Amino acid sequence: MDEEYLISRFYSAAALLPQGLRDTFERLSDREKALAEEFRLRAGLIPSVLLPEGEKRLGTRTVSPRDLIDTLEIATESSLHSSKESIKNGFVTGLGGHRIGICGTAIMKSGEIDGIRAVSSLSVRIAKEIKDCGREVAPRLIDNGRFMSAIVISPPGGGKTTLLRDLVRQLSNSGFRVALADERNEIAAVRGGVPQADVGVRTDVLSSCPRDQAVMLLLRTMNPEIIAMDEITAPRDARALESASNCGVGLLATAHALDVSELYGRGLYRELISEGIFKKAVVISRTNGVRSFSVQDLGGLR
Amino acid sequence: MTKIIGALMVTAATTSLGVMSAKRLKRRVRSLRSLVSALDIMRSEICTRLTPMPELLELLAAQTGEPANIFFTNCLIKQRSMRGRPFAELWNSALRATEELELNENELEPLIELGTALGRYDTDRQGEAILAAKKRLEGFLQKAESERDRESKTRTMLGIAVGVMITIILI
Repeated sequence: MDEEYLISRFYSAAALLPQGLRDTFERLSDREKALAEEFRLRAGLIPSVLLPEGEKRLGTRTVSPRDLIDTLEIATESSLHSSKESIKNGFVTGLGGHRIGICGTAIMKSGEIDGIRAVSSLSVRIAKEIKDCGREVAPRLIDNGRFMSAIVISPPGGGKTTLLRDLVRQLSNSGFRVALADERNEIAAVRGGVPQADVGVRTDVLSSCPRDQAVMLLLRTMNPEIIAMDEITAPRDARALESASNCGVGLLATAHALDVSELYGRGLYRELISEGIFKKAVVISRTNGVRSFSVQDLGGLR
Repeated sequence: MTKIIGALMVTAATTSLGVMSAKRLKRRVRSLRSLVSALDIMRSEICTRLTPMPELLELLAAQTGEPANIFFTNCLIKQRSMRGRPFAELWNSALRATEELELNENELEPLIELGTALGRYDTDRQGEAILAAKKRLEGFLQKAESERDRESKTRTMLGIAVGVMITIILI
């Protein structure tokens, strides 16, 4: 991929850090900047960058709690209050679509997480839009002009969101009306109503809405042919997908799993596969740092 | 003839000084009032609608009265030019740049303190900080209003009287 583009994404993510920390990261070589996947900031410890070969610690300056708060303030343009719902889920999406995972002390209210105080660490994931990475995958999900519902799987950090974004773009540009339930605003990175990432010409984006509610809302209002979303994790997501499938809408989603047998081993996904809701699986694997995609038919598992 | 012209000029000068001083009292009242009502909008937007800060500043710049609207416009400009800097820094910088507010250091203090809370905390804490700042500004507003009612006419009349007195002494 274009190294210049990757370096520009590095700088876009580094711009979310306070000046002192930013300087530490910007001392990396161009090669490392292009390969960087995440910035890891832990209070009281030296910051590190996640590269394909693992975490690399940088400099001698330790991260202060103030650095963490400043990062969140910069990333949300002083609008931490607007990200209240996503903070309950442990993340905020910063400018440029970079997702920032948050750890600290959970504030509990009526048995549920109501927020996070005393932030102790942050993980800034550098959002990268890799256009055409799904070029060979997208046609294999279409049969006789009909989209075959598919689930994209890989372990965390495997590139599911990147592939999902490009598949949405490819399918949308090839004529399907796609509705994107972008709960974390990480796929389209909508800002002021305009997606910052290219998600295609026939894509409607509903961001920052819980997936299950987003699916029902999109079904009712946007007349989609395909509904796409990231990371199905809860039974309520699965129930919403069942409803959408019964309405004849194609589904495109992602899940954490190493391969199809591991996915099938989990109750939540086994039901979705057994009921024929997902017909194909796109498996992302990585060999020597190089990603490859394979499309598998799930019919045999029913 | 020269004496009459001179007397008129002196009287006009001292009268305009008195009028300007009275007007300044009125402008301070208007400034504090516009800021108090802006804080009301700010609190409801942050606590109820969770409006992001750039959108909130735009809204305040468009919907509040003068000179608060000038201050929020300056905040917006600073936010764009000081990207990556803490909000409190740009807020303070905009406060200092907006001379139209005509506030003294005591009156600026609650606003400076508010800047350290905005955008960094949850809605409850920001709401509390806005209320605290509003309460203090309302105190200053009451004081400024009674000062205006008490001294506005006096200052104008004093300007005229001083002019007349100087004229009498000189003639």
